[in-house]
Amino acid sequence: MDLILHDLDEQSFSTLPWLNTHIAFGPNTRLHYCEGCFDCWVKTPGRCKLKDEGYAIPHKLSQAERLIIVTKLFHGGPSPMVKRLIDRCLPFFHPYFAIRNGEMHHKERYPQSFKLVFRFYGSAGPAEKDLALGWALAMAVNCNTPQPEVHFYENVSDLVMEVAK
Amino acid sequence: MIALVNGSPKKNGSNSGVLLDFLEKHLAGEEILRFQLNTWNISPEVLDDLTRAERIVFSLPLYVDGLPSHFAQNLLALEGILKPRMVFGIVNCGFYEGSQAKHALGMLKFWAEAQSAIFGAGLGIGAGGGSSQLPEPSVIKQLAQAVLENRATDNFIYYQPQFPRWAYKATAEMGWRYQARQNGLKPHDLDWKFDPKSENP
Repeated sequence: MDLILHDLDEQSFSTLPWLNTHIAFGPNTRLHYCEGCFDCWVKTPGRCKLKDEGYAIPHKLSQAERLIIVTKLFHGGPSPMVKRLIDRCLPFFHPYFAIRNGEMHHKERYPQSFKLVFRFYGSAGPAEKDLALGWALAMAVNCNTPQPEVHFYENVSDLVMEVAK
Repeated sequence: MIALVNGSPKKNGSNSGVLLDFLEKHLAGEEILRFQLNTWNISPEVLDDLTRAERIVFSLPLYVDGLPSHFAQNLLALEGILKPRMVFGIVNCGFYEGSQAKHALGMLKFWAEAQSAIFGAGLGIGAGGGSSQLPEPSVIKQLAQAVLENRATDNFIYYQPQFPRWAYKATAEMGWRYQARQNGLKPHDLDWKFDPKSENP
């Protein structure tokens, strides 16, 4: 199963040929932002205190073979909408630490790993793309997943065309 | 006027606020206004005051290697409205290494430059989760100097505490167990896993 976190409108999303079984969270998902309360670590471990449509995201991630992030570039990072979906993955992580790539990261809560795919769209210069690439690689280390797939597209139409090929 | 903006989603007791308290002590004699952007909504009064700021220092926690989403949303809402001359950033990391803040600082720098502001300096504070219990990071004074002198530094400045990483790891993990016990949990409860067959996820 693929877990897709995206900020595409319904029409663009439905045009894309998603080959695998997938569950998607996007602009229609009604969810609050992560408030960093850490209840998902020390009060109800693995579960968010917010029982909105974002509650299930970390649970779906624990079952996913791929996490596909489709986002408009926002100053070298993900859009605020997609970041809201990503931040709600916090219960997926364990509060304890592990050292990876010589840096401190979170220990895994779940033994299985998934593959990360990033599809960034929007016009941006090389420095901004470099930053987005760096962020994507850092996220992969944080999630303890293999080298991620990272793609850049000038706009949504290019993304739809390229993925449909 | 210098605006010190706390970008943590926490209402009270944020480490981002503690770091701004440290900074403010070094800015005596300047007109300082403190702001809290802990929600999605920026009131018209806050917006009015913020637009007067010629220098803005944003202090925020690192969330999944980047900006917290409510903060990114606020930056989006403020695009084209704020016209500061200079922007500075403090990003505190729960991890030991301050350098893990580099992507979040980079995003803030791109945002500042898109507002035609100069990005003055960015601090990445390691072990930021312990800011309220630890001494003031030495680099705060460096940032204060840059703010006072309207000076831009070339690079981001990273800080990690003056004790070994294993000690931070052990102390932080003990802290999680302590909080779990306060909530009536046993240490092994921290390992809870989602079971798709369970009726009560």
